[in-house]
Amino acid sequence: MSIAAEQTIEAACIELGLERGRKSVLRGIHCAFKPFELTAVVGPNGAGKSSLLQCLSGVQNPSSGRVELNGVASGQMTAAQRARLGAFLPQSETPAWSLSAADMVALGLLPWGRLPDREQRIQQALLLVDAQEFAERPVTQLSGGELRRVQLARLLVGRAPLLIADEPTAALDIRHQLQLMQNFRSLADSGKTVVLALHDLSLAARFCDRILLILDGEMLAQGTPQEVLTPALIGEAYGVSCEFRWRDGVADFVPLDLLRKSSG
Amino acid sequence: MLKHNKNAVFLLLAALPLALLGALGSGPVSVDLSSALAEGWSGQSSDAVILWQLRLPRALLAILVGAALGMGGAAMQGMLRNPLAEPALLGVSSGAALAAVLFLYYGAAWKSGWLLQALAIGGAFSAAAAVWLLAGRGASAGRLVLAGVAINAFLSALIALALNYAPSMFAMQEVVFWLMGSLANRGWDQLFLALPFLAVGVLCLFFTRNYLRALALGEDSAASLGFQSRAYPFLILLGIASAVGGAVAVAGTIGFVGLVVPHLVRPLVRQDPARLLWISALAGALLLLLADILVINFVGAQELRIGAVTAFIGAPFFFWLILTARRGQWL
Amino acid sequence: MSAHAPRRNFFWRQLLLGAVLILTAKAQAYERIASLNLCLDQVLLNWAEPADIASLTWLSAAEQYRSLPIPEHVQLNRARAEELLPLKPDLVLAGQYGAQRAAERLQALGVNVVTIPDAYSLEQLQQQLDAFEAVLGPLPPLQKQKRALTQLLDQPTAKQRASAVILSANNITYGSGMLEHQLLQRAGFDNLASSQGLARISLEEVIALQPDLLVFYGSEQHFALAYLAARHPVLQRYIDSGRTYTLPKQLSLCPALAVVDTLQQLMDKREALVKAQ
Repeated sequence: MSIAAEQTIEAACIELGLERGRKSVLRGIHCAFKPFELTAVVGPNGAGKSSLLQCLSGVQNPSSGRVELNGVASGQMTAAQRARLGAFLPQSETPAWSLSAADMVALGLLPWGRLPDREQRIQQALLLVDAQEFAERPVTQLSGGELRRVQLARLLVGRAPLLIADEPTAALDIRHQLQLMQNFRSLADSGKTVVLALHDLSLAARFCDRILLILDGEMLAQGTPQEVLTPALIGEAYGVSCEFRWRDGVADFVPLDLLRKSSG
Repeated sequence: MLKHNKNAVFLLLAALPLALLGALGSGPVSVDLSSALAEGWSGQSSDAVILWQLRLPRALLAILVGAALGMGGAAMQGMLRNPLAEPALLGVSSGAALAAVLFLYYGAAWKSGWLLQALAIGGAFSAAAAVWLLAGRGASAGRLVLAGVAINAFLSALIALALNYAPSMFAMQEVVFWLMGSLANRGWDQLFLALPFLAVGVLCLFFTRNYLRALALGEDSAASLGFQSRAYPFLILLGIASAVGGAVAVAGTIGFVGLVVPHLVRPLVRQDPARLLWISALAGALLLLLADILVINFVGAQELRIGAVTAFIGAPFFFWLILTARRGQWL
Repeated sequence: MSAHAPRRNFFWRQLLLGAVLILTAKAQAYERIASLNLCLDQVLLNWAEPADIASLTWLSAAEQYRSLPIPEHVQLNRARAEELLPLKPDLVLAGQYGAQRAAERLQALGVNVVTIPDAYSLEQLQQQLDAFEAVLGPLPPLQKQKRALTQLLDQPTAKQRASAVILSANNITYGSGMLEHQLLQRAGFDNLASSQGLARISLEEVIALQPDLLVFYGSEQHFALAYLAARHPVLQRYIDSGRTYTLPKQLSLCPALAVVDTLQQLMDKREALVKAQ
């Protein structure tokens, strides 16, 4: 039932840096994303998660370093070529007009022009996120959860092998959070390269293959959930004491108390 | 739903030639339309001259100007993701009018080719750019409208000032001509002056239609869909300035068409910002042609200003907007 | 009150002259004349001795109205009493409308103010010329103008008439009762504008009326949307075939100066049109 990946992609950030005004938002980021892998980018508010995803998706041009898609610098590609490789769902995507859900999903196909299986793909994407029943409803009248599912369908309706979503689970109830993460998991299993920014460390630990922990624009740690989600690293990044209770590769994340931030 | 929309579009398409016939049949002189039509373009009878040299260019100019305003409004709303945007509100019209006024009254004559339109477009473009810069990138609707009102008021004052010092005996009255618009006494020459600029506008907007679609999702989403280049908004602004500037240079500023028309026809194209361009052009043409028929048939000491007629139609629409907003739907 | 002395002297000299020449003129010869009105400015500049002019309105010096150079000693006024008082004019000419308050103030202050009636028809124009003569005396150019006008008006009207219609700025035409209409009639034209006084005329009506002569009014030096009708391409065939005439702007500003030339030109135009047919 899932949309099989027609193409696989390896993405990499090399010595990535980004400056906004005089503030340096990202510094020396090195990371790689592989097919069949679901990667979570975690870190406290303002750490640079969104900036990293924006650079990776090509929405932002990095100030230094580069993003490579299958070994080719994305800066060397045309915007259309890049859009056909990577799809991006920003943190908030409010449609300006009350398009129908199906029409909104169709916008995800813009980089490909008129595909012969256009209608089929839209229906398939809506089916995948369980949104076909409100396909003709105006998106401005959907609930937050319904809108998120339509946005997800918009993200995966195309053929892009790299899927990037910025906090897709924000403002969703736990059922829809689970459903969404299951969707991303099966997309990754079908061969897509999936990168998500997440706040929920339990979800990250449970569904993701790799986790990048970012702090103040720098890569603090990256690796499997077990490697990254340790009380020491989390304490350093978030300033909270916590414990992870691992059971069968699944972690229960329990925040305990605020840590006094070390000066400097 | 879809069938219903198609019917409405078909009705609009069918209404345009009917309105054109109505416009050709309206005027202070009663004309035998069929024989005048039969005589053709080069007919020498006064009926034929009235039809081919006076009524037809005026009606076609109404269609052209209405289409430019409707399309410009749709593009403006699409680009700003704001249903309250319109070319006039963002200073495009008054910028074009100011440039035209400065050129006409202090420079060369009417018949000096494309320079007038080019300057008007320059004026339209700089006014829109000024509003855009004043409001700042990614500005909220409120800030944008505020900046538009400020720039607009300033430009209107400059027009009045320029006309006051103009070496013309009709200065104050000319202000009204420019700010309320008029299609009276326009001939083929003005039509052919405006036409290429409208064509450029259509072309610019045609190339940006998919950007407008993607922009429905926001700037970041549009960028991720392959529309990252800053050339797109520039091209849209150029298209609007060209079409609306060309229209304003020959007809003065005509308000409300650019605001009301996209609103009215948006449901007919399932809210698609790209197809909205063309349907708004069609509906704008129809609206302005009907307004001009009203103007022609209105008996008074002076010809009614077409800007006043469109405001008559537009203002109640605003009332309706406010009332729906009060019912808590949106805004 | 030294200003009175030369005036008194002048008065005596005038009396003497009058006795010698047995002049009928009741008018005094003023030598410090001020005008509060653009038309009266033009009349003074054209007909009066430049040395006798004390002040004219600023409009006469404005680029768009200036027809004659203004003598250096003449002060420009904006029709305000306080500007004129220090100039000690012995005659202030005011129009029928406009600058009324200044005229009243000056009169109240003992200044000699004479109101010259406006002229919107031939009859009023003749009265206006008489009024000029009554106050300024028998100035030779004035007398010449009056004679020329009488001569033209005494000519028998032409039998072969042509048709004409006036298309003025803002699609205005002139109907019966107006000076322009009377001039057309006197010159042998039938004015096709059926209305009385000023009325609106559309280009369609102009085309439908098919006049022999299309009469424009006023200058086209400067652009104005008001002149758009006159620039419409549909009128090109009138211009190409020479069947147009442009009434001088002066005719509307100050008909007393322009009427004779205009009437003569219209008569010539009619003859040329009739001959061409």
